[in-house]
Amino acid sequence: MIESNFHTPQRQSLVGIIVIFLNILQKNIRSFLPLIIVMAVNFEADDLLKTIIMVVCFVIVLIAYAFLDYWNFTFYIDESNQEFRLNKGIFNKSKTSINLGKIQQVSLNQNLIQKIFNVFEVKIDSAGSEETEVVIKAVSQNQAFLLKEQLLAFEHLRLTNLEAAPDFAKAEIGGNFGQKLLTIKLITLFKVGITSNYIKSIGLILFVLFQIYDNFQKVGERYGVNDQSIMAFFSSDVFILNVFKIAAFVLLIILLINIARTIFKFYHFEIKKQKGVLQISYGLLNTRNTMLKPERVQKVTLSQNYFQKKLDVIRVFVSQIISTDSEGKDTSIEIPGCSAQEKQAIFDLIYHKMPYEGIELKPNIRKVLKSISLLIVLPIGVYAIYSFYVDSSLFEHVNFVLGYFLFISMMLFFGFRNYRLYLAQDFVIKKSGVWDISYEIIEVKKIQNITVSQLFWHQSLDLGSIEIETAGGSIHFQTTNYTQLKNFTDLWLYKIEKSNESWM
Amino acid sequence: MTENFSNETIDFDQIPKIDSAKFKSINKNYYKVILINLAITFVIIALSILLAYYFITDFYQHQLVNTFGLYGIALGVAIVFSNISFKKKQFAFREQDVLFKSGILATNVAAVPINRIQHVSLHEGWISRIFGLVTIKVFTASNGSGDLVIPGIEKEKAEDIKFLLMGKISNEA
Repeated sequence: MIESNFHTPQRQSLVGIIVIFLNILQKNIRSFLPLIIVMAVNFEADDLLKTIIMVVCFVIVLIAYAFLDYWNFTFYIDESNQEFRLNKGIFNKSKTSINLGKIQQVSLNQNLIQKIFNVFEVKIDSAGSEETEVVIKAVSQNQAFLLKEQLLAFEHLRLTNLEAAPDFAKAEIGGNFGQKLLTIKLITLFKVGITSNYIKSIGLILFVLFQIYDNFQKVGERYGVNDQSIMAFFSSDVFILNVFKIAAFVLLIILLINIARTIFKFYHFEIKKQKGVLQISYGLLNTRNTMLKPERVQKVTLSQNYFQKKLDVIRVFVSQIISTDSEGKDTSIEIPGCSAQEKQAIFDLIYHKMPYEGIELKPNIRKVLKSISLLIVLPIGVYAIYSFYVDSSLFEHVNFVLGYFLFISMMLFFGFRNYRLYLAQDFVIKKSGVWDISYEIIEVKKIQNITVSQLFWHQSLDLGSIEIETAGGSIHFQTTNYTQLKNFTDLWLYKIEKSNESWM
Repeated sequence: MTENFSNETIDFDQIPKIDSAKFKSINKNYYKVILINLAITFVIIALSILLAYYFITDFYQHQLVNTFGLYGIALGVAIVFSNISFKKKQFAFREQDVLFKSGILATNVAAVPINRIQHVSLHEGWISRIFGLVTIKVFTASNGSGDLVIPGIEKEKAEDIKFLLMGKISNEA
């Protein structure tokens, strides 16, 4: 066994104080940014001395806080109880202990600040219902790899019944141990950036535009330009004629932002296989290093849209056991874009038996009835009644309404057409989506519980819904053949109960 | 997208079915628990309405009558729904799993295999305690809505059930 220096409480790397300080500093600057800007704008020379004193005091308080935070943050491995223990907190002290056997994942990450000072963040995820995620913000490289190895040594012993090889840690540091499974090329990230996340990026753009418009108004008020002039500008011919150019420009910005985000987040995405565990590393400014154990995989989601199909790019999301207090963060591992072949290689590693599509269940038309009534009948009905009886001028906008109707109808149509459930002995797969088609795959042996349900007026129609839950996400499907759903539920319960195979 | 396709024949007849399980209703006294809860809630609402009537000057008598009209309808609906909900609650402890039926407009059947149970807890509300009833909560590793919450079980029986389930869980481990 490697000599372990984690038996006694350890502090982080001394450099950690600086890292903590810088971290708090940038957080505070971000939250106080509006205030700072206001102060800067209203700045007068007499205030210089006062300002300097304030800033200096502020910085001293932060440094003191960073030091106390560092000093009160200790951790060690309690071998007798097989636990990892962490004590932290200046005023509100907290003690966390994690059972070594429950540790699911140890990730070593570095953001920009940490890179400069050559320290790592160690993030420990475990499966369990109490405090299950621990983050140590500044640990030296050696310490980080040693700690990771030690935390996982217990798992290795449990799974392989062998003593951990002495040069395992060194091999990790070298990073060359293990067979390279997948490296995602820059061009693939580029392809992914162009073809995905439109909605998120559009949302971002709209948000920014709104902020600009808002500030535009405020600045305009100051300089005597009033609302009407702004509105006039927006409806002027100049603006309308150029609206397509503007739209194209905005679209280009969206694409560029998306590409940049994808590249920064997933730069040099690499998967290595090491002792049956997948080591995943990626990131340009913030690097992340995480591991994926095939047996911990609960649910896999594949996503691909039309453009991505042409470019042979698939996005893969792998979810492991979600701890109950991860604040709703999506803890699944995202593989940004791989070819069909690479996806198969990943599947080879995760699954002993390849996922396959069993019998196909289609939704009944009644599934869309609710959406149709809520999204089409209701708003258009209200519009029609309102325009007819109250305000006839609204009829001018009938084009918009028509456009809305066509758009929603198309979305509902494609959504319905793509909504499928595949039931088989070992796998259940749900296909869904309008533009981004996703396949959610759950292996039957990972199922935790199943709920089937039927609305009372669907009884004679033999329609029902199902929800299948795992420790890492669920699949639900509505309004389809209830008898088949029940048949397979019975079958799956039988298979799960018959075998005592571990699901994690 | 998953290029593999399989067309095996499955014989469903040999497998135990949820539909054939023998379900038991929860204890009749639990309906009293529900009604007491409803009563408390609606008394509080009624008091709030009256308070509002006395203190808000714009609150006229005809509005009060209308409000209590709505209140009456809400109360009626609540009683009907709670009755349906109570009657629908049934459970079945099979050898290998636990089933629970519930719902008002829909009938939901939740199934939890025993080898997936993480732990079992008993919960006593103060009203349930008066009738000697507890709620059994069965947890799995999923953090969704599939975990079972079975109310209205006699306390002694619940303790037996918990003992039995915990025993089976530790046998599996």
